Amino acid sequence: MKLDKNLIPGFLREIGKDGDVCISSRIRLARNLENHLFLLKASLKEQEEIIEEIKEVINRLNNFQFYGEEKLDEIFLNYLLERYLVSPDFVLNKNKKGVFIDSEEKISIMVNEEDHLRIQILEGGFSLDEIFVRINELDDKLEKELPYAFSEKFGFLTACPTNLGTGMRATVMLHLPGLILTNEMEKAIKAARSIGFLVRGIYGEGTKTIGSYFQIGNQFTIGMKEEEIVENTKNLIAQIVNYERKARDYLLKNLKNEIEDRVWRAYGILTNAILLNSEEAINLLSTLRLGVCLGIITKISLITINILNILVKRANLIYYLKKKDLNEEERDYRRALLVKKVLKKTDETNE
Amino acid sequence: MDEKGNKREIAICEECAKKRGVLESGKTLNIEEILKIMLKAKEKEDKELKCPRCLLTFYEFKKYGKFGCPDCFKAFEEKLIPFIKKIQTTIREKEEEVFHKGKKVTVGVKRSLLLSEIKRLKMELEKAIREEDYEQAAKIRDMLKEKEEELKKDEIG
Ligand SMILES: [Zn+2]
Ligand SMILES: [Zn+2]
Repeated sequence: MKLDKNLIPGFLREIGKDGDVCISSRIRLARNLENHLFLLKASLKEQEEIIEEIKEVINRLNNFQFYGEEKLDEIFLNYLLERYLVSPDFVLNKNKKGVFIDSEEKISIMVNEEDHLRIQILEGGFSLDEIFVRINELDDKLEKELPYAFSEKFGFLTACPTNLGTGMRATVMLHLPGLILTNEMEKAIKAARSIGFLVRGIYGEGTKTIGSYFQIGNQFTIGMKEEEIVENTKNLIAQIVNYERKARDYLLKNLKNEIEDRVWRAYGILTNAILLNSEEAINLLSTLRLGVCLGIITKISLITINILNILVKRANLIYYLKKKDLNEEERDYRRALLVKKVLKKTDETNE
Repeated sequence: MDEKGNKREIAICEECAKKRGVLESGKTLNIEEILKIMLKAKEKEDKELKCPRCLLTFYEFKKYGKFGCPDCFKAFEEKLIPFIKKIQTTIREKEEEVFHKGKKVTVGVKRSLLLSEIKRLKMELEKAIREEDYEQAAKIRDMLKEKEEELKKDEIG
């Protein structure tokens, strides 16, 4: 069975620059409106007014889909989180909230997350430069219509002091199985932290790491220009990409049998298991991805792995199957079935 | 004097400490008690420093780690500058303070507020006309005129 790549967000549909290590890049801007209290102090009524004001402007300027309260139930919120289009805080907070998403699923604007506005753009691979140009344009366009809270000294005023100044975070999602397997990851994390970078789990702040995926981005937002933040982040990421490739080379040269064994075992489970939970699936797919990058497995594409990585997650599986009433075991069964079908078929036909 | 011999260095005298009721007569001050007094004084100061717009105190800001509104920054400015330096750089011993160096808004805040207010009034005007509430419409039209004039003045100035 071949899956349509339009099942997943646009930024995961292509393998970008340095795609063997960099899954995707993201820049987000935190913005607030001068004429409203921040979310700590804004009443529910004021929160609704904030949504209406922002909606009026964004609907006029862009062709985005808006999802408001009535659409954002628990499953749909998690569906968006699993697609990296909203944050864990957006899923959990009790604010009146809404989110704008473009038709390609590369841009999302959260309203009333921690700030009135959280604007983000995602792209495949290592592509902070392209994103920076585009998010700047979008931000300039919005700034002409929305009264951004701004001060000369502190820059864009944000609810949390850790975002002050530029309000900008530039992050790259990295796949680092080589550093994990060679026990170098701890060292890399320490080095990155010591020079002002955040290393976090797959959905960002406070989330755990699975499948050797890490988000790395700038910690500091004030005292430097946006361009410097992008440049510094790019430099660090380039070094980590190098480091990861060296680790993979080492594994292939010195532990060839062990690595091949690991990869084929993962393939064996993925193509034969009767029940698979989502974490196990993501971990095994991660090993499979390493196998594809190392040339051990040649008949499965990285795009196929990207698609499965999204569809095996709980809420996305529910949406894909269009069955909200499956219990956990039924889901594990349907998940295993889906993975099996996709990987086996890819095996036979993708010559 | 305690065994460390440094009690007299501290700038709070026993007389004052007694007045504040921290020190019972007959006892001498120790370091912990003095720190407690200083902390209490600082806490009181932080609780009295309040943003006039959203009423968040600096004490609450430190407790929640979040600001309440755009005016908090002016209200807390003095205490904020060293605070930001502490959390927003690894090079803390650096002399200079940490301020914004990035992009700026191009439309002045006052102007963009006027623009959004005008937009809101226009929508209300349409609504009033749609609902045939002409009295209300006239009122809104006057307000709109006022705002548009203000905007013009702002453009010239
Ligand atoms: Zn005294
Ligand atoms: Zn305030």
